[in-house]
Amino acid sequence: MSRHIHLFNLLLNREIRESYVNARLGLAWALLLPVAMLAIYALVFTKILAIRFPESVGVGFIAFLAVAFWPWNAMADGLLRGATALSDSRSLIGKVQLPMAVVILSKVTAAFVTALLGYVVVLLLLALTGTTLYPAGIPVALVLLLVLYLFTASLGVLLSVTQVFFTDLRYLLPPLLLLGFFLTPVLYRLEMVPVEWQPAFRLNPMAYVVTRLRDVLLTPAWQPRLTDLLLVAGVAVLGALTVWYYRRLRPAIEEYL
Amino acid sequence: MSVLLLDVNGVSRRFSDGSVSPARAWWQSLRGVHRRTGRTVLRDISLKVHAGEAVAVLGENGAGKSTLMKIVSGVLAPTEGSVDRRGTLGAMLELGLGFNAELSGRQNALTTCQLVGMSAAEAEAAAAEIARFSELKDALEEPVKHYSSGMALRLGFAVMSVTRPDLLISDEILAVGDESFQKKCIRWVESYLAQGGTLLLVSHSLYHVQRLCQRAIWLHEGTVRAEGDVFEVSQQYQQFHEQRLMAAPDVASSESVEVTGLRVDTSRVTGWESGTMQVAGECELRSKNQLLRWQLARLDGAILAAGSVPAAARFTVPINLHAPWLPASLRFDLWPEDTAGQRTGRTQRRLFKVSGRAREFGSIRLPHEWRHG
Repeated sequence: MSRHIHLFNLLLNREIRESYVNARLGLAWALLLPVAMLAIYALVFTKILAIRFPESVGVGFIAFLAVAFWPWNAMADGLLRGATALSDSRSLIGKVQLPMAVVILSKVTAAFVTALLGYVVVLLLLALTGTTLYPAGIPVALVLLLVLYLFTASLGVLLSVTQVFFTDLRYLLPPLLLLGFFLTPVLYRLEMVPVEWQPAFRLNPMAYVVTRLRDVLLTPAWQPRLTDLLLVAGVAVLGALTVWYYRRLRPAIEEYL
Repeated sequence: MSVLLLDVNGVSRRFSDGSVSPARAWWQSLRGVHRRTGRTVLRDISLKVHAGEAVAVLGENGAGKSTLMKIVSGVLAPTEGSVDRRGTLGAMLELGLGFNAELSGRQNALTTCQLVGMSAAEAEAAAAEIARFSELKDALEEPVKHYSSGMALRLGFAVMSVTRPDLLISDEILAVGDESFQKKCIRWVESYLAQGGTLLLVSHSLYHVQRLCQRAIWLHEGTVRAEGDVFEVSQQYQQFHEQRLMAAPDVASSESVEVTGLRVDTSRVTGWESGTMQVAGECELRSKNQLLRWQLARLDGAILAAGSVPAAARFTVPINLHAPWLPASLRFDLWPEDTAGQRTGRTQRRLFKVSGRAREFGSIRLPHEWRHG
């Protein structure tokens, strides 16, 4: 086990460094990109499209968007990297004795951590430019992000293993993620969805995670809910399912990789 | 008996023969159905390697050597049987050790060292030795994508040399690279073995095999055909190849020329002295450009004499072996050829022995004398 942790740390380090190895600014991109993206969204949504929420919402659109958008991206990047993790690491897997799960998890985690680094930068920027963030919500936000990570890691392993047998998955995944993005209230409020559709939208775990993040970071008083426990339980079930799926398919992977 | 480092027990491996689609394989695996179909690459292989041994794996292409090496090193799982390993293991299955093309040689070397279990500090300390052994100099700082295959090999071998695994597995890597680096690698493997290292070597070079290993295992079509002393097994392996070369017609049968009734009388050949070897036989004549090519060679392949003569329907050739031959197993080969040097028929071969006793090695005895002082 300790060897696996050693390998995981090593591959994670390598992944994060490699993503920027050819860029002149190197790791600084991990910080610059979120700043640039936030500036673009601010320009497009508040100046060009001039989207405004009613006063009653009590929060600017950019803060509203940013708090949900970066976690969504962390999840989406993690899945995209995870899905092709095994096929991308073919050369390594064939030469070094390496548990495949470690390879997948290191890739998913690298993408997730990089995106989360951007999230921290963006939240700091928001706080500096006058958005009120509630520090009391931070521990809960961390728990939510941990749940989101476990969700991403599980789905990443599932997709990566499946992709070995269904190679078309890599082309299918980006449009599916785009669809998911629009079905999740990142750009809009759940309350803006027609009332008869709202229950269906609420079944989406990502919708739950992003609205909860907004609750705890952007509003002063949040209440623990029973559904929070349900979310944790759901992720635990997904994790167990992933372990079972991985163990079942593990022996057949090399042959079809 | 020293420590058992590797215990391969009844290992078999099947690969999909393409009859099962990936989607079907996925569904079967998910349901826990284990397939019995597929191409069997290895069948019931058992092999034990103790610490300090050097074992060679011989076999033709496709005999299953590389699959066995992958299973032994844990990269591939066996379909049946088990593999127990003890101690650290260094496997050079293919060149490059899974290097990342974007990263520099040094970064790759550091990562690989850590992948086999070194700490970051240990890897850093080993970097100087890697730079020295690989002789890559400034190229070490360049991305690996700019490397030639020879440079990648140097780096891979240098990394291997600093990690000094308990068991070294090498699949055909000694055969690559320029001659001086190849020699350096062999020297390193020899010193590694001298200091108690353990080697499992796949090589087509019987020279390397005999020089480095004491024991050999011969894989043939996925099963162990012979196992034991390296010289015995490699000789059997060589004989198998020679017999097959002779059995296989070299040209299309309609055009081939048969040499028949080849008789080689060596009764008058005795060791140490000259003798006359009588060669006689018959040959079909198909064209005027027909030649008969002959050679006298030792069983290890070294040619002692050779020549070609215009073919005749019947021929008798007294060959005067006027030389002080050392005892050896010899063979006389004869085959038809056209004037362009193209073989036009099967080789006829006769084996014979020059018997006798000698303390010298080689093919002939040169009169000489050692003077001291």
